[in-house]
Amino acid sequence: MAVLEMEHIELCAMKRDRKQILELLQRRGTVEIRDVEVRDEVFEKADTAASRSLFEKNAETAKHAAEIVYQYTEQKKPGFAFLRGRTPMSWEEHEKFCEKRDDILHTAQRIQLLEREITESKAEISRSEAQEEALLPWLHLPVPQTFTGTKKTAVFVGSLEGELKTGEILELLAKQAPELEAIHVEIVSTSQEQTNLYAIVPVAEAEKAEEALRAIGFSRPSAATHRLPKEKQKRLQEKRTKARQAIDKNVGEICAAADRIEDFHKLEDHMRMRAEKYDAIERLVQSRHTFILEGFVPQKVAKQLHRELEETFECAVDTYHAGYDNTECPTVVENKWFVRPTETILASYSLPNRNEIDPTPIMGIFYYAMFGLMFSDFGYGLIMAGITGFCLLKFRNMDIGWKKNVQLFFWCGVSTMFWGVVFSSYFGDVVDVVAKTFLDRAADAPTLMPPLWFSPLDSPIKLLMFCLAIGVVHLTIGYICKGINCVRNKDTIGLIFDTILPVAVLYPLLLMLLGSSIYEGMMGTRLHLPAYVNTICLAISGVCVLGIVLMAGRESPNPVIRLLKGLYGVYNILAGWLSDILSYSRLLALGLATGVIASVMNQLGTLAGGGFIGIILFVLVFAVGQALNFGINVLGAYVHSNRLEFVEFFGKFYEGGGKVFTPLGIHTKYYKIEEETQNV
Amino acid sequence: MSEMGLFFAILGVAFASLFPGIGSAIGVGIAGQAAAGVTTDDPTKFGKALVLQLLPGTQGIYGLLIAFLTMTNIGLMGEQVELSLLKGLAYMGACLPIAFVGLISAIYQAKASVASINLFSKRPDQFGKSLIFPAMVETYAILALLISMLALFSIPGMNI
Repeated sequence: MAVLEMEHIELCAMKRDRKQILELLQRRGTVEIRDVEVRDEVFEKADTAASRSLFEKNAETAKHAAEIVYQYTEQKKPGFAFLRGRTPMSWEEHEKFCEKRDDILHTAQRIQLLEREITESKAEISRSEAQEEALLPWLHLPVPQTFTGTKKTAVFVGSLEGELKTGEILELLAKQAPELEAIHVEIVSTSQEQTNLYAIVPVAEAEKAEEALRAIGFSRPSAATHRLPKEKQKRLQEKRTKARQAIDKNVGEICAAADRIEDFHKLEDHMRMRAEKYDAIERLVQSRHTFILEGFVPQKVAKQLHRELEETFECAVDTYHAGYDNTECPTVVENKWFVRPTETILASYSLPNRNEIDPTPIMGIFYYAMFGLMFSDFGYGLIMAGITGFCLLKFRNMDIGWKKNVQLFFWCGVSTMFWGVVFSSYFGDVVDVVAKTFLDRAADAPTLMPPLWFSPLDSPIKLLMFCLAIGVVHLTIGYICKGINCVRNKDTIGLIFDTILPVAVLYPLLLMLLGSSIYEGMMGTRLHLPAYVNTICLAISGVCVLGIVLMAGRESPNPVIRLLKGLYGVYNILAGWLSDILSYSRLLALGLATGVIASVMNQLGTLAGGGFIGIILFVLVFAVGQALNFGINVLGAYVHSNRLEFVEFFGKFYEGGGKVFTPLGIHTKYYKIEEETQNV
Repeated sequence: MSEMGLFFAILGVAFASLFPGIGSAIGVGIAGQAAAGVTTDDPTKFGKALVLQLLPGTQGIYGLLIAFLTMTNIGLMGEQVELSLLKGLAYMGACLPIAFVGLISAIYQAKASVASINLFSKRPDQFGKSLIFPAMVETYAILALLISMLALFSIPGMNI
């Protein structure tokens, strides 16, 4: 129910116990280790960056290996990992695992290697396929592509553009070099784009022939081989067969490791744990044989830890209260089960600093109430509470962060159901719509689902007043919280002038409003107060205003400026009350929007009337329309509940700025190493 | 039954669905571009980026809500009701707050959303705060919705 008291812990021990001590702290998960400054030459800091990066690398290897095995064995990764959470594992099991970790790391590295080989083989196969593709037109060439001739003849192997016949080529050549007579052209293959050929000429005419050939666009094959094309093709095919065999072999070996996935996960966790420990080592200062550790620990576990450390190891431990003005000290809030989930909302704003109270309990109750009021539909609430409730029952190991979120929406769902009954909204007016359209109920018959209190559509002003009243209560509690903080910090002037007076201004005015004709005009009724009550109210408010005028500018020594600041202070407080209270009208607007849009969807669904087609249309429109409305309004309710808490409520008193508590612990991904860890 | 009254009331219905719809379409479009950019860098941010993209989408829904309420009130969705010229004009007037505030607030809310998307892409731990900035703009759309809605509820009972 509060911000926990923290203790400062200092520990001096022998270096030989360092590993065990850190492991103990890691297992307890209750100490945030501070970065200790080096104060003299005796002590120095260790640089563990190299070891840490090795652990991180090994963790990545393990992760990668598991992914590879998943991929090749076509196993499905278990879905909803965030809901399932981590599998429990005892410390003994973990120790046992440590014995074979090198073996597993070796396997993981081996799997990574196998995968790399597979990738290489695959690249090889596609490369050789491309080569064969280029070779196909040359298959019938009786000599290698690089063949240049015999003693007496010169041979040119290459291609010409376009689809040509032997005669056409000779004609082209004759035009280029009329003197060239002894030339033999043989076509190997033709396609629309090019003609592949070889030409033979006597050595003496080689130069001339080459020139002539060049002139008509002759080019040599780009990736020529010195083997016979047929032979080369065979070699390429053999190479591919070999590569495929290699892939099969590697895949087989990877698949054989299908049962190692768990081990890889354990290895990844283990490596991350060690990296975390080494990160802690870097914060210690160490001499040759000793080391010093400083940190923060919640008071409720400090004594026990103190005793445990001193009993187990040869060390000196000192724990003492961390003091409220210690800016380095982290904040831990602890709350009861009902409002505990809303700690995530608080954390998303800011944790309280150590001089103020934890607003979670009040914030939480109002959060649920306002969320429900804005979402206000029994059907939607049932869906929300049903799904989240099911998840909570089914996935008991859920990660604590997720669990809090799911619990938050469970309670929001319950609250939504409650307000849905109060204001009679069951998927809008689906019960009446169905009864009237499909079950022959008279169109003007009274509703089947009377509201517990009243129907917002019949008296929206009444609901508006109710919402504003919630606002007044919420804001007043905000001022009370401010008062408590003032008392804690012994700020009497702040308590009187910044807390009591602003509240004391409001209530007499509210009382007068309840007795006024304006109120009667809206609500049809009013409080009948005797005239002197009005006078007293006015007097109280007047005195309060005077007090604020005198004291709101108390920091300024100049009386004129002080007076002006005071007047501005009055304006601020009155305008603040007005705008803050009116802001709660969103509860009405969003609440009505949910119900009305839902009813509109139902109405749209009945456009085809009764009958078979009517039913089909209704079911379709109902499903799609309600889903849409659910989505839009759950978003609205969430965002605006946050807003009312953060802006209106926290604006009254909350400073925040507390540091998040990050104890040395076991932050693993797959396995939760269980023992008497007192996680806070 | 005055035909001009019906005409003005339907004009109001058109305003209420037109302008906030346009505003939300522009707004969700602008915010969507930023959200897509963030998702390119880090696909795991999709869900939260989507929430921020959708924030300027509510104005369109509010407009639709007022349009439907007006249509029900003037008897377009069920039994016919008597509608004088003055009443028709009153209905149109009731539609105007959400029509205009919806249009403009959606666009400005989208700009705040874009900034918030950038904020949380750089500081993913600050999602809660990034949600608040666009929500501040929405306040005014909600106030307009409130006035439109309260006016709509009171018009049928008026003796005009």
